[in-house]
Amino acid sequence: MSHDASVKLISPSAVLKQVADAIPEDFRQNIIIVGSLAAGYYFFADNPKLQVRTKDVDCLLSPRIEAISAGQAVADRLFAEHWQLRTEGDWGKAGDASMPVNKLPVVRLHPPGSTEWFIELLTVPESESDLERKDIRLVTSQGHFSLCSFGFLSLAEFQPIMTPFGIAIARPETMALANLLHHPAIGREIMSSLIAGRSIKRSNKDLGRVLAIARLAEAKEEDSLQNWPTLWTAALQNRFPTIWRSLVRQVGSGLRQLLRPENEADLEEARHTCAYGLLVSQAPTLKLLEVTGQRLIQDAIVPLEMLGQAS
Amino acid sequence: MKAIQFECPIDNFPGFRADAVLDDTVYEVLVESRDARRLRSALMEMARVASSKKVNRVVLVLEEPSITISRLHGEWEGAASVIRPDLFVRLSMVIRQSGKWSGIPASPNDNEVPMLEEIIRHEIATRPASLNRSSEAHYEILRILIHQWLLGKGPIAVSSLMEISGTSHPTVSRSLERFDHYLKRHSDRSVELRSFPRDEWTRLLAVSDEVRGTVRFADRSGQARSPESLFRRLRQLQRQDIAVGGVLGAKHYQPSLDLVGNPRLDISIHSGRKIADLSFVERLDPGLEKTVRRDESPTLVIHTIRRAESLFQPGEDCLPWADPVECLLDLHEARLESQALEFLNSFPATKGRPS
Repeated sequence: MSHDASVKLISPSAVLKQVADAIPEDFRQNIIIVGSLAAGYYFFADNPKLQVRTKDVDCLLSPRIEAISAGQAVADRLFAEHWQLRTEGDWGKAGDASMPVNKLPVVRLHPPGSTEWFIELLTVPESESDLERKDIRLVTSQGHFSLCSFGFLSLAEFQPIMTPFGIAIARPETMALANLLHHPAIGREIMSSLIAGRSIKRSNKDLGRVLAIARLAEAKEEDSLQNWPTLWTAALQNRFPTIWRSLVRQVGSGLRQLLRPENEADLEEARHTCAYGLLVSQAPTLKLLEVTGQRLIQDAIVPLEMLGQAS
Repeated sequence: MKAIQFECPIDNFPGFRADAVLDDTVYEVLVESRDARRLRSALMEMARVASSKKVNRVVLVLEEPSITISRLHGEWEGAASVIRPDLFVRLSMVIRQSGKWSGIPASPNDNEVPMLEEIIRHEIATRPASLNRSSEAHYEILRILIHQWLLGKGPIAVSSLMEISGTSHPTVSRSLERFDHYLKRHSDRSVELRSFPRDEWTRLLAVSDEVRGTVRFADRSGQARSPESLFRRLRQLQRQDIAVGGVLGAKHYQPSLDLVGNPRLDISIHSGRKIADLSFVERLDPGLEKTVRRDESPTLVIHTIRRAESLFQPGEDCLPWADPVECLLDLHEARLESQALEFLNSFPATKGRPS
């Protein structure tokens, strides 16, 4: 485990522009930024003083059918522009043809002259039943890499928001939904890196992200959470046409578990990640996160469950 | 799913009726309990019921207790030291405070909550509210007369006063005697106010909280929902027994009223003689909790209408308006004194009269 106390605050707009500028123009349409940078841009783009603390800029290559060609073109252009492989951890160098695909490193590149953040190339799952991690081989000028897909990343493809820089960001609502679905219960997996000096369960970090997005959405527009169930239903029906109803049933279970009084230590971990991440400019109290979760359940999750039963 | 049985006798306990029974679990409900002694005796009673061979679990359901959670834990531990362990393990307490559930030794799970809420709903619906004291009945009659007078409706028959207030003839008569000097009595046994009964009104303001069962809710999250948001959500509930008063209600009756901004939402709930079920508050905002501190600004204030007829005025989108007298009381209660006076003076009955 490594301390990540050195993770800096970055401007979402500036980073998005830098990433977009570095990507070949023909392939910008294949990029959807997901994660805290996308959420930060959505909520803070109007206010340059507001920044986010992140070190990874997750670039989703979409659609899946164009992911390999887009991934090769993007990676090769970035190598040519002197972006550097991230050396931290076990993935400091490219693989080769002899390595099994699941042993290959993913493409993680720092921009020239900076190690404050890096981009990571991902793609969407091939089908709605493809929910486990899948690696596909990406052959670049610098060697072999894995382009991985997992879980509910395909939800980010639903109605992404185009930025003025020519690349899109995932909608906060669909990112929240993906995280909720990914954690139907508080899991045991611990993040590989400490977050602001603390060891954090992955589920608590991701469910904390959901709460942070919900809080920012309410702050941006009161009652906006009430619009989420319609969008969630459309996204689920679009990306998971045959299993969406069964997915609806698991959307709220992890969050409900997190909010139970006996799991206050887990909620505190979620609060810690919010205070260090998307909500850094206005660190939340435990009570605010708890209420935000209850509001989200009431405004979005329960209506979604009803829509799932009705339609 | 099996049905809950209410008011259910238990074998071998003559005279005892459980508040609710589901399968082999017995539920006892305490509403707004303030008394630790009552809690202790309920725990002992539960232990006695748990000794029945047909009972597996006994659950004490506490709705909005005024006893702190730490005190409840203390009472629980106290009970553990005196109740036989084989009985004690079959007991539990679940607590709903401001719509949120907790429990000792464990919170109820998501499957149990709807059933517990049904049990509480039944308990609240069937138990009578504390009986109206004569002064409360008096102020009901006063408010009806002022309502009649403000809206220029003319005399009202004593029988109508009885009907609207839900009180008896002697009660109405006693009340009318108390402000006889403000009354014009007609030969057909109808009455009307000669003028605004200022002395009686001042007395009413002094006891308004008690008379109207006012309950205040404040935000505990630090990011309160606006009164407008609460209003929109209230409308979504489509309740005919809840009406909007306060600033919004006053503006409904007098749109030209000098009221900018809306610091809180005042609503009236018509519960008749039953205790008002305020569990809907959580649906307006889970961040709201009851407050008794007067130095704290409430976001939501609820007043109970106990008379037989609510006098609510139908509103758009299925949400009624509280009557103008309640709105006027709400403005006073919110310390919007000049606006209250302006509102009062905007009605035909008071036009041109000195304040």
